[in-house]
Amino acid sequence: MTLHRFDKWDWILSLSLSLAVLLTVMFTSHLVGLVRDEGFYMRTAETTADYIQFSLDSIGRGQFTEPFSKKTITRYFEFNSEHPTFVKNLFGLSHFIFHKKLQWLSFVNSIRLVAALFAAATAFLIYLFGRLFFSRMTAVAAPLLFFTMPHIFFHSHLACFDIPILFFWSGTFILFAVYLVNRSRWLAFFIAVFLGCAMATKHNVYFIPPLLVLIWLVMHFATYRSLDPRHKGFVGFFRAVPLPFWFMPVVSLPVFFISWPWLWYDTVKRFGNYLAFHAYHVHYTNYYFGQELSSPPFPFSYPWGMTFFTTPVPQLVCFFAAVALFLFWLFGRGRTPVERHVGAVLLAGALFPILLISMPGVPIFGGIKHFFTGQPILVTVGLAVVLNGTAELSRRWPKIKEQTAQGIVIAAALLALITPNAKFVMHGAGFFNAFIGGAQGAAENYMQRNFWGYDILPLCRVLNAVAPRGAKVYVMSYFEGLNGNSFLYLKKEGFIRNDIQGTNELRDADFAFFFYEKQNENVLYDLYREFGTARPLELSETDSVYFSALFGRVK
Amino acid sequence: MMLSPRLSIALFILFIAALLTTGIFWLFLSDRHGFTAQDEPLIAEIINREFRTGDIIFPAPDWDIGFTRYLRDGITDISYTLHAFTKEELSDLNNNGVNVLWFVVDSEQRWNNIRDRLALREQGRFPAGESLVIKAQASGDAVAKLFDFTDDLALAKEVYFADANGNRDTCSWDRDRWKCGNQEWQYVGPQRTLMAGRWQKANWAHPRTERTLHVVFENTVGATALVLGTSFLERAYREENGKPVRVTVTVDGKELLKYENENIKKLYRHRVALPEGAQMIDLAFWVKFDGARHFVFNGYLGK
Repeated sequence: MTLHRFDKWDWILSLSLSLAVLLTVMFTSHLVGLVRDEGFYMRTAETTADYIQFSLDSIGRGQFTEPFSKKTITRYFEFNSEHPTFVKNLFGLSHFIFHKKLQWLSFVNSIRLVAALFAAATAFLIYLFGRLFFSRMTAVAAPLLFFTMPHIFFHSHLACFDIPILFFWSGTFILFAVYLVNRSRWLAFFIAVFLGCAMATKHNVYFIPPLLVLIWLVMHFATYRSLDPRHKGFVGFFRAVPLPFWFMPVVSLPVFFISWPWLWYDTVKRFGNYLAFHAYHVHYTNYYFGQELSSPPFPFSYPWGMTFFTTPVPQLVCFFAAVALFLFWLFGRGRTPVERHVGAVLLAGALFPILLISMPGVPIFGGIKHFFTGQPILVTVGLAVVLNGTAELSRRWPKIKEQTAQGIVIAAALLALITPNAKFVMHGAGFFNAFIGGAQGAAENYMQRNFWGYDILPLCRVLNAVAPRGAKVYVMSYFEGLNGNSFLYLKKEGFIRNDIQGTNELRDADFAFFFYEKQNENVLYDLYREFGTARPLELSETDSVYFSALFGRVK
Repeated sequence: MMLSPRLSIALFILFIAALLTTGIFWLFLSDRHGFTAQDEPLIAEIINREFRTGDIIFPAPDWDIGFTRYLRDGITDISYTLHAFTKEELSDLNNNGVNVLWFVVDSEQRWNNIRDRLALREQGRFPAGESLVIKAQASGDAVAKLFDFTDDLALAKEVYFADANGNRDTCSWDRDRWKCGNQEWQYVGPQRTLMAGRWQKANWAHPRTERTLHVVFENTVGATALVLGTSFLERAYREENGKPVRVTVTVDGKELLKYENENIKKLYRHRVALPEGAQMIDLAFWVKFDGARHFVFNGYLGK
């Protein structure tokens, strides 16, 4: 197995693609409402920006230790301390620079910029992966195909951890696969730093070191006879251990620790609280083929079925093609040990997130964002297999020019994907593919189609137009609707008029947002009776399926 | 490094087929069901004219509520839970033919499926463009309703909590409910709610720790049968460690029915014959611990 050279043209192309992704995400940010999680992270961004200002002021006064004191750290990092702060620090830094100081971006966009940058970095990562392992055509087309998956495009906007952790998850596996081929020491060190940042982003990646070690152990002993003699025996075993594994404890852990000031004091207790929070995380109710999944055991098929029905069909074909290639690398005749090892690593990186969630006791449901982290690998490898099909065709029929055929196929794919992306740009988390019948088929089968109050912007426009001064709007906070912070930031950003108040009591409200989730349908009935009408002032729909509604009191 | 040429070509062809499927589906097929924009005001016009208090509207599909934009104020009894009902449960919604069930459907085919599954009797139909508004009655083997536990709750003989020693806390009727304490949740009163995903009227009856809530009705209507439904509401059964409620029905001091309403999403529905000359019917609800026990019951006496 050899890697292709990444030359000047590759830098130009990859950076251009990344920039295109960044700009597209930022220019469509105004179409995507604030999800519930963003309410928490945007508040954290504000406190982090305050911390930066406080630190600069302290240093300016010559009080160099003040920003690092226990009192200061507790004051600025206690809120939302159930999550590490690497990405939240970036949210705060971006907010501090681009909103508070330069005033180049609005409050929301200054924080969402970080998510968009991670999306751009993911485009670069995919290009790099496609170019090194496959071809330039794969490298160019794979990011395009990846970001035309409505769920991915939607989540790329959000000031949350989902796209950052997708980047870090896939990136770690891809870089490790590259390391297996080129054995670069610098890369080994970089992987450890990268993993440290990943750990400081979200806990998903704690599974990576054990997985990689397990795979390496299996490969080591499975190919023992063909090993270099230096790697045999007891001492040889330690010589054979891949360099990133040595770096991980001594580099990744300090990076994780340094990035999270909250852990600098009462480390054991605070780290224990963090682990306990995630080990006993609440379950978020989800509907899956009419079944209300609110407590374990959950069906094994859930993440597999959701992946199957929420991935656009062309990309889904790529997923299957990718798995076929991994299995070929892993088990095909005449494969080298490195190819087998790379195949196993990439297969694990692609499918382990889904496998993990399919375990019936895994204590959380949050939709596909929790298990789409391996999809950059699947799309890139699958697309390489598909494009290789055109190469085979042109070999058989030389009149078919390989590059031209590949270009036409990619263009056709993007053309086919325009409509679903346009339809779901505001409801990306509610996208279902043609196999289930799109939005209508999913609704007919009682699948979860809404999540956490993001689908609100069309409703805000009507609310602003009809609400009298000082009106109160029900925000459905107790029922997985907006949270209080999201509501405040919608006002701050100008999406909701400043004089309009939010409330969680229906009986106090003049207006009400309703975010459809089957498990919260009771709210709709209460709302009808309380307001004396079932007539919405506005509906937010795609393909006639409604996602959210605005109501006004008549009695 | 790549798959065999044959497999590569096969996957390539599959990809092309996927592109065609995707293109055609999202351009022409993804919005082929539901109510058309032209039909929606027509549907609402019919309902605005024909709907009477006590009727229930079932839109099918339940994901397209565009026609509600044109409904007049006051029409709020719309149920999006038809799929969850059995024909027996739907029959319970009938009020001896006084009220009707309205079905708003996007096609004849859909109506035929609903009618056949739930054994409905069509009483009238109103075309609205390609859609249909159907007036119907359930025709399951429903017991004729003589006394409804929800509509006639005010007529309960007595409502009280009793402890293991027989000490009683009596509830008193206050406007629209039996008040049983100072807390907001301490009452027995009617509401419209979701019983395991089926929207219907029921009585809120939150039990209290190790005390028995008694709701006693006198059989003044000569009923010979009793239908009782109980269930937890969403907030209750989503509470992982929530305790079950023990339900006991006693008629003139003799136990007629006893079961545990488990902490799950389920509508417990029982239909039992009453002994001849049955007079006092005591519905009793007991729980070990009352944390988040959002519990409701409904039903009726009949013949």
